[in-house]
Amino acid sequence: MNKNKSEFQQYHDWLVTRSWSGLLYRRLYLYPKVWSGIKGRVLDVGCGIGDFVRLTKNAVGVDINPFNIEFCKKRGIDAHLFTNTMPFNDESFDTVLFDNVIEHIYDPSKVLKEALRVLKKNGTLIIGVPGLEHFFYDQDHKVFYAENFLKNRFMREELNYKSIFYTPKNKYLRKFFVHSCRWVVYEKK
Amino acid sequence: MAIEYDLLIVGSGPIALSVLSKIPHNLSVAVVSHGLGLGFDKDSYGDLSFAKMFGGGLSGWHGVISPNLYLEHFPKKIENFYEFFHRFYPETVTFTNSLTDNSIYVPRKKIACNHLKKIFEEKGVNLYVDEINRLEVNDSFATAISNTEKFRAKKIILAAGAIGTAKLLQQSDLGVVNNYIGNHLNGYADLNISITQDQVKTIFGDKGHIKKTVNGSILNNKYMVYPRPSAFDFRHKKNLSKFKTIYSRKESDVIKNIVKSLSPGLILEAIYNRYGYWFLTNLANNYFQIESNSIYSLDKNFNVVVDEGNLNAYLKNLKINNIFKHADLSTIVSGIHFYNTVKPDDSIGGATDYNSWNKRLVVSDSSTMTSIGGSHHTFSLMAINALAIETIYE
Repeated sequence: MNKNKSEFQQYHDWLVTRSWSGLLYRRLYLYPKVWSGIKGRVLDVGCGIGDFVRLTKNAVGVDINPFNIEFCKKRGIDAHLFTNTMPFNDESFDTVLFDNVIEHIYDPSKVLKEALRVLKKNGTLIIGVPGLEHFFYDQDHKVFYAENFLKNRFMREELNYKSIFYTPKNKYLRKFFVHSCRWVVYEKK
Repeated sequence: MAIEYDLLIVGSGPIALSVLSKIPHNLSVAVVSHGLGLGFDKDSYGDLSFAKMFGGGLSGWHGVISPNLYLEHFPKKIENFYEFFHRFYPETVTFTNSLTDNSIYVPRKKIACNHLKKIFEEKGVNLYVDEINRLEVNDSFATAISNTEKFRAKKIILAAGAIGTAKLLQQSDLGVVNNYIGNHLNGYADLNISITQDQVKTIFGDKGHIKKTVNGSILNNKYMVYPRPSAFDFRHKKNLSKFKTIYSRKESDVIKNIVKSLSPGLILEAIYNRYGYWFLTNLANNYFQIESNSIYSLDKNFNVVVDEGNLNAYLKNLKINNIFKHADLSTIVSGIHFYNTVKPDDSIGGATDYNSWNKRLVVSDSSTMTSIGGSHHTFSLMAINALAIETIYE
């Protein structure tokens, strides 16, 4: 959240130049997997250029990057700028998704707290983080979260751990996928 | 607001590895590693940042060990080295003839990384990529502070390497450590030896510094030598003569040439890679005869516990039959005593001051040992650290 304007611009420029193969991967493989875990009204925290929001019914995005938000709005994607608070009422979403977000923040407790505020009771929180195999591919990755930590320790007072899935699931395939991730599903207490 | 854990380890080298292998599952643990590795910065030590994070100095030193050297000293038991190695690095060690006909190439970096990854996942350890600049310690917790974040833990294990650790302690203004920490890199001669003041003067001249060890009871009738930095500062020509005096072999001319052109860090590396065993054996055989047979470890309050006369039994228990006894003792003394209990500029009773802060902060190190003494130094230090952690969290 301490990024200055030029860093935001650079990151946005990088996002919009992402490859078609990456988009196809997301559209045909990744999102269907995520969709299977979501329900109702969805909030995508760190929505980037809005790929997920655009392709998902009843979804809203928030991002800290104003260039991303501007880009989304031009394309008619429902995305909002998020600085300190999210522009939503308490308990207004059934699902909140963090798609590769928290590993970019040293202390994600503030954004998680805000996400839990807008999430309904018994709502679903999905957190996707990279595996250690490919953690170092992105220079901006700051925290690696171990699977056991996410399952057994992560926000125990606020969340119940429900399940975990992987993209891809096969452990041998995971070695070859640059962006292999584990997705942990929680239920808000 | 600080990020909180039960245990925080600063550094991700061999010590982190051995510590992590022994921590209980019910602790919340994180590792902070800044990613440059070795603690060297380019300005002062040249481009030695190749080690990167994970594996630390252990993976940075090239990992070339001549089996001939081992055969020379351990003619019948060379397999024990691998047995010991595999205790910490169970993955396959590959053999190659690509470097020289007589070398075994151990891809430590890859092995260390793979092993760390496994432990991270198994124990639920999180990793923060950040550089700690300062430590604060009080009765309740220790805090590691980076440019942007604060990490608070009940205990912090500082294992940032020979230079990184010393630098961090100096920056932290913990008071008591500042008196000697600058000598850390030169503290590898911190051996438990039988040596007289006259001998010390012969070797180190006026720079030599000899003190009785802590409380006198740990190492009865033994002394430690703390060479002052300039005694091992290879950059100054005048020290080379002392160096020659100590190691009166023709190789010193070779080293002299290396000294002329390279930085101290690279010299240490070169010495280790080419003359590591020669260096150690000469050091040990000619000057530093260790007679003690005791084990040194830490109790729950981080006091040194001495188990008199049981070193051999302990090593046997670890299946370390042929590790150089000199190396083990010096490693223990240097790695754990040095920071946590020994106060070099003070005589008997100096340990007390340290225990007031090191209940929250454990400092350990292996990379200097790796560069000077060889990998068995590091391995034995890893074993000792693992033992210490088991004792602390039993």
